[in-house]
Amino acid sequence: MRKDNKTLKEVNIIAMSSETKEKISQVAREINGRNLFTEKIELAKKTLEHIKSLPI
Amino acid sequence: MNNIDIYETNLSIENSIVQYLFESAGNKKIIKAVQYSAFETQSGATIYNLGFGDYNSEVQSISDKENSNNGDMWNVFNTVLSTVPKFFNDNPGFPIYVQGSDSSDLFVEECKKSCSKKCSETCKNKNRRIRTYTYFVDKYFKELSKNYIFFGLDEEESEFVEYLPKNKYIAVLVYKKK
Repeated sequence: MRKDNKTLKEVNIIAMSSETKEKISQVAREINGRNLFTEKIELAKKTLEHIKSLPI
Repeated sequence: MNNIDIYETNLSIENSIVQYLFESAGNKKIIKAVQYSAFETQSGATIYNLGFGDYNSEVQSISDKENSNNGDMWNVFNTVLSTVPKFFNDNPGFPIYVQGSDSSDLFVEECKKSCSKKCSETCKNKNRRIRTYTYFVDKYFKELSKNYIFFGLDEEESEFVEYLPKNKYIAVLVYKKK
């Protein structure tokens, strides 16, 4: 029987160091709650402006 | 069997924005952000745009226009994808919209200014990001379809159509199966 090798594999999480956690916390304080991709949202809205309804 | 390595992420939810931060530890250390931002379509449906980019400390913001080539592309890519099931667990019922920042006409104009490829009609760099995402979806479509429903945005028809692997789409809409 042929084995299907295109299945999802096991996941190994690379943990953050305490230094990285501190750095990320600082960045989070700077950008949390801010929409960082306003251009992409505008692009999405423009791309979808003629779509009458979503498929589901 | 090789395992998939993903970076640990830091989650925050504020103002209807779901955000995951992590550090890419390739050639350099780069902080990256994945953001799911809600917006309304013309028909009033709420969908979440998936945005992804590098943190720029000078402007204290994230840019989705960089190609950092940090030597850990698959770790980064798999980390971004690992946020999808987490997002759906917290936000069931809302679809995710994926479109590359290089899919706009503005991108083509900017690309022409510095590109060495001398493309005649079609910009070869346009839609590269969505091609990367659809490559992954195509590769694992059978497995992913157990939990998710995919629709592709057909450029010519300007409609979402049933996602068929190997077809070209300018954007992808993903729903979690109930």
